[in-house]
Amino acid sequence: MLALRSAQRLGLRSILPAAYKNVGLVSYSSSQSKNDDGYSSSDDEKPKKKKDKPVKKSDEPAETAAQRLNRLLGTMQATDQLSASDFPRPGDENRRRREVQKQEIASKNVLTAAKNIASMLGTSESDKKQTESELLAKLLGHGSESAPAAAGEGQTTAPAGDKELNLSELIVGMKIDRRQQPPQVEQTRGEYVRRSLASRAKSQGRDGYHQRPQRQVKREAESFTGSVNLYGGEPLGIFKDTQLPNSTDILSTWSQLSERELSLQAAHPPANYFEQMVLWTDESKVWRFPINNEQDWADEVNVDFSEHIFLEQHLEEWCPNKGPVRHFMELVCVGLSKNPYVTAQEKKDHILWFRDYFEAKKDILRDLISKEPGKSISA
Amino acid sequence: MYLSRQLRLLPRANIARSLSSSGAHYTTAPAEDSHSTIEIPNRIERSPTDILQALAGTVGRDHTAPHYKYHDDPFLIPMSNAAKRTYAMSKESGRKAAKWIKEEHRELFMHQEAQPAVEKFAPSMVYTEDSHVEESSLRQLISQGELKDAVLVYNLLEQKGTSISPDLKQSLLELVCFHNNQEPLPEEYIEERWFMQNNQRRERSAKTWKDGDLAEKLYSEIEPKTPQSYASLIRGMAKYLQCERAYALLQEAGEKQIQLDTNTFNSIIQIVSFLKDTAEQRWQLCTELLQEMSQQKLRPNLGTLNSVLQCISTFGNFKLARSAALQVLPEFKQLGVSPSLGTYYYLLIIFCRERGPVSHVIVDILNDIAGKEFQIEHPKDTYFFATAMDVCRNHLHDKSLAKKVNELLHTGKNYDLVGDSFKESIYYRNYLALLCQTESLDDFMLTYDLLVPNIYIPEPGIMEEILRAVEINGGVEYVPRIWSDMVVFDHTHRESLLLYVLRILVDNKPSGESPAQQQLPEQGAKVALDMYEKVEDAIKRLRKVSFTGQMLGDILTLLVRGGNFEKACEVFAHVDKNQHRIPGTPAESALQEFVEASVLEKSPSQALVVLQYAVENNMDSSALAKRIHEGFTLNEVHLSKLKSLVGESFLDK
Repeated sequence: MLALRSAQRLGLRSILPAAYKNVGLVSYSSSQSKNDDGYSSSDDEKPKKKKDKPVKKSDEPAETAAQRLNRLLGTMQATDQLSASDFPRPGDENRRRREVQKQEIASKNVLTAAKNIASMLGTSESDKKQTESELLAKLLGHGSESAPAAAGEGQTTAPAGDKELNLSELIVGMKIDRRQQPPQVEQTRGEYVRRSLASRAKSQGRDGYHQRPQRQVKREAESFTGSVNLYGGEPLGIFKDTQLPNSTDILSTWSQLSERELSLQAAHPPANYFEQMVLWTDESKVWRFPINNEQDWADEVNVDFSEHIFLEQHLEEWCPNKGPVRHFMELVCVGLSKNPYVTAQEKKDHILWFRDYFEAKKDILRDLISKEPGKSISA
Repeated sequence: MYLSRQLRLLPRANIARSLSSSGAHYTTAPAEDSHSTIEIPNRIERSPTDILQALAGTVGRDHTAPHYKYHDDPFLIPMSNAAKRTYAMSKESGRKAAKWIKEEHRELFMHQEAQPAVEKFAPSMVYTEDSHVEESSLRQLISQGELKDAVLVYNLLEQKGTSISPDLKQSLLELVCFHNNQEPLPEEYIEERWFMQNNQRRERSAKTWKDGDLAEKLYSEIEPKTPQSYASLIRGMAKYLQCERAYALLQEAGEKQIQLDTNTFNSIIQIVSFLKDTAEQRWQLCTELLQEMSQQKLRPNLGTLNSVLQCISTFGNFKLARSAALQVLPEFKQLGVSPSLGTYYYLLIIFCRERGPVSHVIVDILNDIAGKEFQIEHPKDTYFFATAMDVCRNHLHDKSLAKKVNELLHTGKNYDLVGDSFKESIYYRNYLALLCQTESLDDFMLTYDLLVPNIYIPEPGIMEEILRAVEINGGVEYVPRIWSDMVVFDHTHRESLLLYVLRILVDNKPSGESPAQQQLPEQGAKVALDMYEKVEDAIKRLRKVSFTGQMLGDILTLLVRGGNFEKACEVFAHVDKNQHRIPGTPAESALQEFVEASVLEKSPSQALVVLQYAVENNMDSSALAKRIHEGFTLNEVHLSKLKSLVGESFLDK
C-alpha cells in the first residue's frame, strides 16, 4: 500500500512542479531585468506583522529589497494565473459558495488583525491609523482578502507547502541579501504563500474554477475549522443490539497462533542488556526470575524437606529395634537422606524394597542368628 | 524457598516495630491511628520478566551511541544502511550456525550442565519414519507451533492406524491453515524479521493458498463438519487469498445453518475487495456480511472494524469511501469497540488520497489520540506511524503535525509500533525531508544531529533534499560536515550529489569576514581534493561514477580558493590530458580563477597551458589571454606561445 501510494505521489509530484518551474523561470528573468544588484530571498521579505514596521521606518535599503521581492512575486502570480487553464469542473458551484463564505470570514479576520498590529506598533492615534491603513492597502493591493491572515503567528509556519519547494528552485540562482537578517524564516514564507494563493483564489473564483482546489484548502491547515467529526456521524444502523455478548474465538489454536504472530510484529531487536535478558527469558534460554533452584519442579513441589531427611519413620513398622538388620537399615537411611537426586517417594520405595527383601529371607536370617546366641532379630 | 518465606514475613515485623516505637518516628497522625487496622497489601504476582522490563524501562535511547546490537568498538560500528543490515544479519547468521551445529552434532549436547535443566539447550527431538510417537507428542508439537514436525507425526500416527481424537485433528487443521502448510520463520530470528522489509506485502496481491493440500485433506476427514472446521478452512483460504472458495464456503456454511464466529466473518470482510470490482458492489457485500453477523447475534470486534475500513480503503470512489467510513466509526463506537492504531491507519489512507481533496483528518486523529499509549492489537497497527508521517509530508506539508506525530511515537511504548526497519526508515525519511523543507537550517541540523547516524541514515534522495535546504538557506558552512557524512554513508558514487556539493561550495564564495566561514576555503579545498581522489578511486574499480568537465572545473576552483595550487595543477593536468575522455569542459570562470592563481603563483607556463586548453576547446580565450598578458612579464618563449595561440592581433590592442 505504501509502495502504491508513493508511486502515485511521484506521478502527481512530477506534474506539479512542472507548472511552477515555468512560472519560476519567467518571473525570475523578468525581475532580473529590473534590478541587478542582488535579491532578497523570500526569507528577507519579513514583514507584515511586527517586523515590518520597524524595518520600514529605520532601514531604507531593506525596504526597497522587500519591495523588489514583492514586485517579483507579483509578476509570478500574474504568470501563474495565465498559465493555469480554467476548466469548469463538477461541484464548482458548491466550492465557489464555500469560498465566498470563507473569504468573508477571512476579510474580517484581516481587518481585526491589522487593527491589532497597528495598536501594537503605533504610539499615537494617527500612527495607529496610518499603520493599519498601510497594512490593509498592502494586503488588498496584492489581490484580496488574503485568507487566514489572522491564523496566528505561531501557527503560520506550517502551511508553507509545496509552493515553497518550487520557490526554492526559483531562489537557487539568486544571491542572498544579507543586510537583513531574517529572524523568523518560515513565518514570512507562509504568509507570502498564503497571500499569493488568496489572490489567485479570488481572481479565479469569479470566472470559473481554478486548477487545484485542494491546494487552496491546504494552505489553511491550522486554521481549518471544518474538521472531520470522526464519531459524530450517522451510524450504519446494522448492529442495533449493542449489548451482545462478546463472541469468543471458536478456534483456540488459531487465536493462539495469531496472538503470537501479533506480538512478534511489535518485537524489536533488544536495545539493551535488560531487554536481551527479557528476550532470553521468554525463549526460556535462561532461568526465570526470581532465581530459584526449585523452578520447574513438578513432582516434588509439595514434598517437605523432612520427608527427604527423616527416613527412620519408614522403619518403625517392620524393622527390629536393634540388631544387624536395624544397623544396616539405619545406614541405608543416612545414605538416602543425603542423596539429592532421588525423590522422597523413591527413597521410601527403596526402603520398602529392603523390607520385602528381609521378609523373603526371614528364614535364612533366623537360622543364622540362632547359631549366634545373644543376638536376636525377632520383632 | 525457606528464605523467601522468611522474607515475606519481614514487612510485618517491620511494621510492628515501627508501631511500638511510634513516638520516635515522625508520625503526624494522632495516637488513635495506632488502633486502626493496618491493611497489608496483597502480594503482587510478578511475571519473570517484570523486573527486567522495569529495569529496561530506565534505559533510554542514547542518540550518540550505536544500537545495542552493534559492537561497541568504534572500528566495528556500521555507518551506512547497507553495513547496518549486513552486520545485524551476520550476527544472526552466527546464531543460526550455532543452532545448526547443535542439531547436526547432537551427541555433543546430550549432557545437561544446568540444574534445573534448560530445555532450550538440549538438541530438539527428531522425528523420523520409525520413531515411536503418541497422540500426546502431536499435541505438544501443535501447542509449540512446530508445523513440520506436527505434520510428520500426524502422518506417522496415520500409518500406524492410531486413532486421533477429533479435537486434536481440529487443532492440527487450524495450525496447517494458519501457516498454509509452510514452515514459518522461527521466532528467534528477530533481526531477520526486522530487516525482512515487506516480503509479506508482496505476497499479498496473489493467491498463495495451496489447493488440495493437507489442509483440505484434513478438512474432508472431519465428519460431520463442525463450525470449527468450516471456520479454520475459511480463515486459511481468506488469509492466503483463495477468495472465491473462501466466500463459497462461507455461503455453504450459511445454508447449512452453521454458526460461525466474528473472526471468521472478519477474514471474509477483509477480502471483499478481491470478490467485487466496483466500490458500490464492495460496500454492498460488506454491509450484507455485517447484516448477517448481526442476525447471527455476533458481536463485532476491533478486527471487524479494521476489516471494514480496509475494505472501504480500496474504494476508488472517494465520496463513498469517506461517507462509509464516517458511518462505520460511530456504529462501532456505539458498540464500544475502541479503535487501534490500525484503524487510524485505514482512516488516513481513506481520507488522504493522492488524487482526492486534501483532508485534515489527521488533525482530528491526533487530537483524539495524542498522549495515549498503544499496544499492538491488530497487524496493521504498525503501519500507522509511517503513513501518518507520509501524510504530514506529502499531503499536508505541515511541520507542526509532524512534530505531534513524532511526539506520539515517543510516548510510552509506542515506539514498539513503528514496525520494522523498513517502515522506520520511511518514517524518518519523511520526517527529515519535511523538516529540512520547513525548518530553518539551524533548527533542522539539531534534529539531524539527533537522528543521524545512529537512528537513521539518510538515503541519497534525502541527502539531496538536505543539500537543497543548505543551498537555499545559504548554509555553506554546513557543507564540509555533510560531505563527511556522505563519505561515511557511502553516498560518494552518486554523481548528482557530488555535483550538488560542488555547486554549493563554488556558488557561495566564502566572504572571509564572518568567523564561521574563515575555515571554509580550506575545508572546501579539502572536500574537493577528497572528492577528486574518491572519484579517481571509483574509476579504477567500480566505474559507477566518472569525472565530468563541470565537476573537475568546480574541484579546480575550490582547490584554487583553498590555496592548494599544487593540487589544482595536478587536477588541471588531468583535465588537459584526458580531454577526449571527459565529457564537457570546466566552466570558464573556473579557468579564469585558475589563471588568476597562476599569476599569483608566478607560473606563466601553467597559465599558458590553460590558455591552450581553452583555445583547443573553443572557449572564449580572449579574457584569459588578456589576463595572462597583463599579469606576467612574459619571456620570449611564452610570448611567442601566446601569439601562436590567440594571434598577433591581440597584442596590438
